[in-house]
Amino acid sequence: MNSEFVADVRRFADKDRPSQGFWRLLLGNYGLQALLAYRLGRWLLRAGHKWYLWPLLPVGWPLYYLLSRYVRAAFDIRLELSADIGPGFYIGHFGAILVRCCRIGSNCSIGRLTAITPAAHGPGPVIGNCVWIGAHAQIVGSYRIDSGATIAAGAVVRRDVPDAALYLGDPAHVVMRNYDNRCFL
Amino acid sequence: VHLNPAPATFAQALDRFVGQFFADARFYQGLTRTGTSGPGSLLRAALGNRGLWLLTFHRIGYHCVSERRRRSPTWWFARLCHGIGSCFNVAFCKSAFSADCEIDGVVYLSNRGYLVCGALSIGAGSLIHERCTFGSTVAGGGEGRPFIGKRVWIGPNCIIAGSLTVGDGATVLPGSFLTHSVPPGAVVKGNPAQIVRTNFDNSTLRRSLTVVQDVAADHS
Repeated sequence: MNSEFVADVRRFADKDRPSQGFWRLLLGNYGLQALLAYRLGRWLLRAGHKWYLWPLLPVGWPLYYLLSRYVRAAFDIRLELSADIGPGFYIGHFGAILVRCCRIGSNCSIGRLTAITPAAHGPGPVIGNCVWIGAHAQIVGSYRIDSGATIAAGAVVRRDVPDAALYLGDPAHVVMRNYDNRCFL
Repeated sequence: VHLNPAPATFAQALDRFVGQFFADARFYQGLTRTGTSGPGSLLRAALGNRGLWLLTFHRIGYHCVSERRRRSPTWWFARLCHGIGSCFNVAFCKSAFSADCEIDGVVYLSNRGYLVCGALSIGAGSLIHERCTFGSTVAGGGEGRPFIGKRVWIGPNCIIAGSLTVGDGATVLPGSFLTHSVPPGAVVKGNPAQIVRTNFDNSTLRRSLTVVQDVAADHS
């Protein structure tokens, strides 16, 4: 569909068995189904600015609505269109994922039960490239997370994360500096 | 020495499965329908608890994994039931179990779901509340999967990741993130978790499901 979704599929294929085909990958990975709905919605938003794509919109928006409702009802993954997610996004597990009003760079991973949202009123978090976010992590508020950071499972981010380190705990603090997350990202 | 030898015939396997299901249903009846008794109450407990269905479908999946060397027609039937059951678990409990997790006796899994369990074993008589994650870790620890002992009380929103052991009779308070093993009978709390009390008897916690709200209010 577009190059961002192709990057997502490549990412999931690297994590899963790479030999299987696209349809088995899509049926076996709930995160990829959620991303398909999200990328379709973002593409439809962009297609609204091009008059020659307008005939596709009456078909596309109901399809997006059905897909996103299915993903939300079955797996409780909510990737809202107000979020700007870069290519190569990986969702490790299903369940209670909320991504809203934020900017996420390329090749990030998130776990289950994560919330990446703004606080009640205000700008959302800005997340760099190659950030690994574990399960149960909470990033609520206008925090900035730089490229290469690792947010461990259960961490609650309460201030900016300026460097590529391992953050853990509530509130999240540095446990290990110069932490390399490339082996499991 | 195998304490539970593999069932030889279909009748034996079915007998054991039904017996285990009724033992689980009685355990759920004691927790969720306190003060009632009789077959009607047992039936309602068996049908009305999503956690019991999660546990039952997991037992079918565990049977498939442990018997995978002998693929009889019964095995294929169990495999089909496990496939349907895991879809049921995802859709209605938002939960996933790794099929090789060994659950020996009766265990309470929360009806509210959001449970992902990659533990190697869970002991008998444990209570596991909603929104828990057990599994291997990649950040802040080594690879490996946890063992959970008998009569353990695990509150909501807990993470147990890595090759660690939760001892028999331990209590994990809500919102804990375990990075070290828990000795038997200890109480742990916090993110990262620390031992706050030793030699604590959690039998009163394990008798009721409403006590979790009081515990969460005390420790929030």
